[in-house]
Amino acid sequence: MKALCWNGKKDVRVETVPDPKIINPRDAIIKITSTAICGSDLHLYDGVVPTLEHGDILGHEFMGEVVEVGPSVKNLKVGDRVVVPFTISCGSCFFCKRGLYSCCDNSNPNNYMAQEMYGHSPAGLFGYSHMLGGYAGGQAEYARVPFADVGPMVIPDGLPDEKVVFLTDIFPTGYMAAENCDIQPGDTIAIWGCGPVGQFAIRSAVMLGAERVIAIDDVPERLEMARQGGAITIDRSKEDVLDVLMELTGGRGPDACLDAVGFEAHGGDLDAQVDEAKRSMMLVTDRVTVLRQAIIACRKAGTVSLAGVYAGIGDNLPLGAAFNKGLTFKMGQTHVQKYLKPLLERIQKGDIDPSFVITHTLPLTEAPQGYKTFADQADGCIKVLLKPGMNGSAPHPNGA
Amino acid sequence: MSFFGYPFDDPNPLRAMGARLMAMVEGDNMPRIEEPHHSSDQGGKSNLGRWAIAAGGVAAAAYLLYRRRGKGGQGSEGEDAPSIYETVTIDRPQEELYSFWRNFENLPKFMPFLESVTVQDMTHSHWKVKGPVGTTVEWDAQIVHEEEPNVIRWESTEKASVPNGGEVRFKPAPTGHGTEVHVDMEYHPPAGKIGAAFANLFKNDPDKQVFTALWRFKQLMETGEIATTEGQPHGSRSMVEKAADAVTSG
Repeated sequence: MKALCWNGKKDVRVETVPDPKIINPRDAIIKITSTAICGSDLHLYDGVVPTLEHGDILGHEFMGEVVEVGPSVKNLKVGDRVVVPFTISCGSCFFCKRGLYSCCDNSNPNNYMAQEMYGHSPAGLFGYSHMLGGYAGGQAEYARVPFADVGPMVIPDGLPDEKVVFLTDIFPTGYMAAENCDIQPGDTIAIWGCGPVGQFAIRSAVMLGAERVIAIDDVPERLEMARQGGAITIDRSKEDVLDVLMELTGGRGPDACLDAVGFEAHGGDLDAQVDEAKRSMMLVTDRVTVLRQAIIACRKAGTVSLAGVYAGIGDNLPLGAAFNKGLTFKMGQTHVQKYLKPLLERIQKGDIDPSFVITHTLPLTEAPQGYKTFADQADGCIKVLLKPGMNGSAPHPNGA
Repeated sequence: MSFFGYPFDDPNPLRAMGARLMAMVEGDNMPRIEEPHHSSDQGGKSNLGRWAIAAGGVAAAAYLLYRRRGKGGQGSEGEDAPSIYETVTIDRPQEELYSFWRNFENLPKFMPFLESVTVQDMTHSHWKVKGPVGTTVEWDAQIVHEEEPNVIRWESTEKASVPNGGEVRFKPAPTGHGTEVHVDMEYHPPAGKIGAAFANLFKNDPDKQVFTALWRFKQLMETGEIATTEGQPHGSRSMVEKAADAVTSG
């Protein structure tokens, strides 16, 4: 089959690799019909996530048709159309039983590595480094899905891929981050980053009853999409973010601050430059510019919710501010399985049509160009959807 | 400049950290970063220390110093009797875990370093492990203490070329939290070929081997299978120079 393989920093290639096969009794094989490039894939593309190896198949936002099931998979049958959560979860450990699927105890074969770095191993993920499982990803024609009796959800007829494929990651990720804001009537939520996760966080915060959503970015088309989603926007390249936030909230600060940027935050601020200098001197690994700003901006006793990925060690966090203002922090990989059904219902009811975020649709064979366009934020690119079954280039933008 | 084999001037600490972690991966197709031999009494601690250097600098090292202290109590009492302790909590009833373990023929299902265990009678069993280049090491073991469903202790019999033994203790975790499993294993590797075979068995990282075995036991009991990626597809793996590149390039 064809699969998108990582070959080094900013070097991904579509290679011909063996087809996946059933390995464990609870596996299924999916023929992929739609698979997206995630913002978090750009961390891999940039070569900054540890334990990625040449030849690893990337991709963790995919859906398709069941073509084979292992003997223990009773809930799926060949021909079912399914979305596949990016978190691989056993469904039977302490954490899965409590709905904390991304903390699954049993799905990471390389848990020793994660335990060494983090103290404990989180769930295995598709196509996201060996430390997090080393599972082949879904930017391919086929994928092996472990614990297929727990993860994949069958999609009813009549819903096109474009409307449901983001149930695999970014819609639940934005939604969980908004839910973590514990939104109360009258609340103002500030969201840093208007990439795909930020866009879903904006719409989720609105759905969850936020009175105002303030979105922060510096890319014009992303700010425009944020406004379409109901946000007030701050262009951080033109305005002082903290000043504007205080002005908009009468000096109190947002009730919750949501970081949809993560550990590769960049910016022209002095502290960002200091982070980068320290990174080059190996003093830290993660740039925490956005997180610092969120802590300072957040109102007293407010919540800081992290959806953007952090991977290693950050520095100079204003813990005194966090402590003395009594902030609550919520974060983590998304417990995708928990959100599949409720968010599918929202799509069916018409609360949201997740296809709004797609700007580019490409055949799988053009995935390397898709990565480049997305990474460069070129051509108005916000979200790239790949179609293994498609031949040649589709017209874009807005191929959806 | 390098220290413990790490490129101290790597401009990308996460990559360097990754190379260190990748060196822990078992299985095919993984470029290995050769590391200097460390005696087993340093165990995971030396790994952490070196990771700190890979992660680079003061902040990471301080963090890991804290982690190391938190880990505590691991490693051996002396060079002659490396002893490995690991513990895990399993969300299954104590009796079920006890009886699965008590049938020693089940052990190779989750201890990948064992080729087979044959039960001979109520207390005696015959153990076989693979050594390097087609060799095997075999010995007889007997259960020297058992207390259902709490403790099983076994020891190799006098004739064993590599005296070894182990103890597993099961105890209820707080309400609703399953069963705690505590394992102690020890071995007395002799000099020479067989000692080398035994060292190879644990790939010079006995803590990791026992950790992995215990977590595989948990996976098997909680999910009915052991998580793996062995046999899955991948693209072309790197040549040696690419592996080196992963360590040294930014």
